[in-house]
Amino acid sequence: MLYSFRVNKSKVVGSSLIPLLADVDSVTARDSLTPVVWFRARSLEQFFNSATQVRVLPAHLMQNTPDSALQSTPYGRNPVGSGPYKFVRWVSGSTIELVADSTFHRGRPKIDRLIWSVTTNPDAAILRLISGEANFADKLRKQDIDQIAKHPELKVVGYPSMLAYYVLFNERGRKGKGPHPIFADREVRRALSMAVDRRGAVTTVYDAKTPLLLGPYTSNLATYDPKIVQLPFAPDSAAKILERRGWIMGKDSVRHKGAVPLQFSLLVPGSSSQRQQMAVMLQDMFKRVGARMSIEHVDFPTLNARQPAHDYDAAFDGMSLDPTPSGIRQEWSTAAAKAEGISNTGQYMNPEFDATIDSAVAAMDRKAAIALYRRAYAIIANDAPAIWLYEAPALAGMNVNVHPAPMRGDMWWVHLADWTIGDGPAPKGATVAVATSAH
Amino acid sequence: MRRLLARRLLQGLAVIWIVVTLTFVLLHLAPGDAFSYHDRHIPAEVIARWRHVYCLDRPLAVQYGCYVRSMASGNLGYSISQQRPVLDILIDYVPRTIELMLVSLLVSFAVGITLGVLEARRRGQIADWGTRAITLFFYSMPDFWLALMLVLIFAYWIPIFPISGIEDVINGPTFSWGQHVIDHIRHLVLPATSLVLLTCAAIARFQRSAMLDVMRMDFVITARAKGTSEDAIVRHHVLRNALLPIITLAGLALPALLGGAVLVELVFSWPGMGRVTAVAVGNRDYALVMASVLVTSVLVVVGNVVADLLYALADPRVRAA
Repeated sequence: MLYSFRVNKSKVVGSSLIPLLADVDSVTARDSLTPVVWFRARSLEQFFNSATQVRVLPAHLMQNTPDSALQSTPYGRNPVGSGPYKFVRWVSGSTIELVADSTFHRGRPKIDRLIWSVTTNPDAAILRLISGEANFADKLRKQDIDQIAKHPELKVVGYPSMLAYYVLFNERGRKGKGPHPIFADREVRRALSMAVDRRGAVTTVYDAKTPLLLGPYTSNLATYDPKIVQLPFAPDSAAKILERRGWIMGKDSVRHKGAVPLQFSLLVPGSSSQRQQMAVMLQDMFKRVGARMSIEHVDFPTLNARQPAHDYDAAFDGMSLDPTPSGIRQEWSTAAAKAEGISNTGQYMNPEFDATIDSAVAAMDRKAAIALYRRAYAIIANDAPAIWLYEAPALAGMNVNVHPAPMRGDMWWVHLADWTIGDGPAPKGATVAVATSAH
Repeated sequence: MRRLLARRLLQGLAVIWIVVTLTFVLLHLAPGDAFSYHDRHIPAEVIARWRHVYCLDRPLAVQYGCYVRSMASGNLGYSISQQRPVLDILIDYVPRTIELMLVSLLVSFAVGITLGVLEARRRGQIADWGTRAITLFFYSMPDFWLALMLVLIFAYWIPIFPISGIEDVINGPTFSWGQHVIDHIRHLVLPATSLVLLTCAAIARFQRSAMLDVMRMDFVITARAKGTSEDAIVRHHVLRNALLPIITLAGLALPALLGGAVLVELVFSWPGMGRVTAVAVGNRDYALVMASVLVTSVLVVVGNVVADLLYALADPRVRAA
């Protein structure tokens, strides 16, 4: 554990857990089985951060490798873990095979073998499920559900979603020069948010059951509150606000403020058909209040390169959120904006929001913490740094004989040891083959 | 002959250098780099340090210098997206692409030559028109479309061949050696068929016209006048001479097959260089893309040099020239 914490906090290694472990001062060993984690400050999330985020690494295999060389250590291709399954083989670009570990402290898992069957293409993953080459597929899309419905031997299982989708406004000028002529104005951002019929757009692209996003958090967090006041869909009021802020309708049906037209572009990942469809609907909604939006289809590296460089007006972002409410600080705080990194590229900054989140994280009373988080959610909802659109449904397709244990939104595979196959005891050699699309 | 070989090799090296340099420039002109894809939670300073380590924070000319130095020392670099040396990736993936290409090339030529001979011998008859129409139909199809149609047919309607991957992931580990071979061949059928259908039409048409050209020559008429059977004329006189242009076609088919392999590997999830390269381009994994382009251009150049040499060996007129 001492080694695992050290590696995960090392800036040379560059683990994504560095911000989450910022409060961890040090780790000591009381005895060979008991690590003691020392924190700089007390918080409700201490236990979560120390007990669930850090995976135990085999120090005896890795500690002779310098941190700078850990990425290329042979251990990376022949991992040893402490979980319910043991690594068997990895065929590059094809499969990763695991086998149940009889010595696992909670007993041998019910399914003997797990095989990840990797494709680069989500269509191929679904075809493997349909053709019987796999009996589980994650990351289903809307069109996949229609396909699976035609096969009685398959079923669709939903699990908590941590995926949030929104249109992020860049409050700084293109390429970081001064404030953005349109989005630096809080009232204009609010007006544009009010011009969007979110329910209508989400129902058209997904369905009426897909939950609307209320802010940078999903309905699966304990801090979620459906009663937090949202900006309404009110295009007439939106037009009046724009008028009041000096954006006057021109003869070309586009508002202008002096010589500046109310015109901007939206970056949309070319690989996401749902986001592309919704972007076209947003374009039409903005047009009705006198805003002209063009759509730029880009690939993910381009999207991720242009955002930190502030080389965009607005971006159709999608994010897998942390399962802990304090994660909001990493993405939306002033500190994140000033870091000039890949977080908070929209440069949303509100000291009141920062202070409320800091208080929420530091609160040691659960009720008080939840109340503070909700207050922060209300602040950010009112500031409209983004148009909060929807929580993408998290769905998996599987054979009807596969009975999953509860699946977590951030890591559906965590309880695989408790999954079963068939109605009776799992047959010897029972295998779950997971078709997944990954790079 | 040696002079020919030396000239061809020098030309080949120049082609490889131009291709690699152009790819390097074009790839770096696209926005983003391999670290644009990384986890948002990794601190910016860590990403900046990694960019420095991989020479990505310097001007393009300096990055090119880094690349050339690395190549000169025999180091193909490190794949950021796969987090391992590029050489290891090539060792894993290149043999699979070569396997797919060789099988496709051999079957394409066997089928294409046979069809070409058949068409030439049945010139103007229904067999000639029919086979030409069928091969033209496949030849005019986009490669990804043909591959998708095969997936559709064999996934839903005639599920006799696996539609993706290189092995049966569920039962594979329990197979004997023989069963492994059969399973692997079954997985090879559809991707290879896609490539064969796309290439054999061109070979058949080429072979047909070469056969017809030779059939009009005096020595064939003489053989026929001497009473030699039509089968013997085709086998011993016409086919041998008509095969010469096919050697050139073999050199030209290699780049076409490599190009087609990218899409076919993607559709059938065949874990070869084509698929890896397509993914690496999306991930801006410069080292991996450059290595893949290098391997591909070397394969194409070597293929063409071998074709030139074979042609020279087969035709004394070329050798003398």
